[in-house]
Amino acid sequence: MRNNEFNSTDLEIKDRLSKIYDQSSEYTDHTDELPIPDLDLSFLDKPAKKDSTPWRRAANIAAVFLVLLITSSAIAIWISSDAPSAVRDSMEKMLAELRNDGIGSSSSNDDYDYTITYETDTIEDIPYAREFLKGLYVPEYIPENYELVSLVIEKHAYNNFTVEYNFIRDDQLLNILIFTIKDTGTMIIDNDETFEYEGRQFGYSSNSVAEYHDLNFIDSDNIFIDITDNNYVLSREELIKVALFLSK
Amino acid sequence: MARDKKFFIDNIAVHHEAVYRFLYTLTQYDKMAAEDLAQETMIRAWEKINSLKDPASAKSWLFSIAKNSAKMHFRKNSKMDVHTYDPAVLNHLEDLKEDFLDILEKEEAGALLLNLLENLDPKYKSVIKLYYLEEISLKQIADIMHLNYNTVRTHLARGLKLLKSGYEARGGGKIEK
Repeated sequence: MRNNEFNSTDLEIKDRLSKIYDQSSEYTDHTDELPIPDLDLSFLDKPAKKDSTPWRRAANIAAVFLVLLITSSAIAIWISSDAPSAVRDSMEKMLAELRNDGIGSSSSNDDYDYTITYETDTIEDIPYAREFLKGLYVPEYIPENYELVSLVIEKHAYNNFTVEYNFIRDDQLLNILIFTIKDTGTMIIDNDETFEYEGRQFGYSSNSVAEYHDLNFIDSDNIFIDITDNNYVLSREELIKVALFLSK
Repeated sequence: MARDKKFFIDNIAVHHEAVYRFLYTLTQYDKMAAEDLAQETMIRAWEKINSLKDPASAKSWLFSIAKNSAKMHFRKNSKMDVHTYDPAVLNHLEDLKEDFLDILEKEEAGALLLNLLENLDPKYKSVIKLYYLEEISLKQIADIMHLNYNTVRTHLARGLKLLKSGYEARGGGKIEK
């Protein structure tokens, strides 16, 4: 597929540059010698996400009760500790190890330290998702016929989180990405344009070549929200409406 | 597509190397990031396999997931983005492309140009290679890398300008218009 942005000069450059690369043993070798890491296919053997069942919901409720129980028991520590977030993080880490239905955990050495994940593919689990992540943004308006196919919430240390909703209508994908900004003040959002609507500053970018457009904003708690119509089938107004109807 | 391991291995996992190479360029030659993103792309592809309607479009479907993974990576790790918007250079972008094409037309220039390009600052090199070799639009590069569109155009213009001056400095002859 040709890049529609290309003019005749670009096309000539592309053809000539590609030929030079193809003919160059040095850089062909350089590219070929790039060590390709092995693909770990173990995820294929992990059980597929289960459909939502009463039993699963009950397990989720039990997990939520466990969170509430331990959290309330630790209020004294929470208040008196010099490092309450560290205490809470440790507790959450312990909890993550106790639960294994819809919620998983992993550790890493990066700035996020560890991750607790909640996943669902049904809108009926939203109450549990809200319990899992207090202040979760939930879309109360989604354009007609889009269905939730996945909601993945990742909680990290230091109150960081990432939330990704995917809605599908036929083969059209509507994606909502929500995450805390890691380093407040250093994030610059680059958009085609910015505009204010109902007191909120929005950024909007479109790409007719790649056929998607997206709308984003940062809320008052420094949470970044990006709504992407991956097929460019919705209007910009529809994206704004989705944004306006996101509620905590 | 239903979850079918054999289908996945034969039609999706088979593109792992291509995805890795693509992400390697996209991440400005960061092997660790490319490796993580390639693995993540495959996992996301497996999770979303039901949304692949036409097996014939498996590769482009997979690459769109790879682009989204990279987009998320850049946004998560967003650092201070220096807005390198240089109107003085941008105004000459088309001239710089013409100059670069003039150099490419010289038969003896190939090896020197490739050497210059491969040793260019990664931020310029990746834009030039993604644009001309991978045919990713500047707008899309900007979106994926979480950069301003004009910053990407400026990177392209500056990269081409550096290639031209590097070529001339190494005895490649002055490009006259």
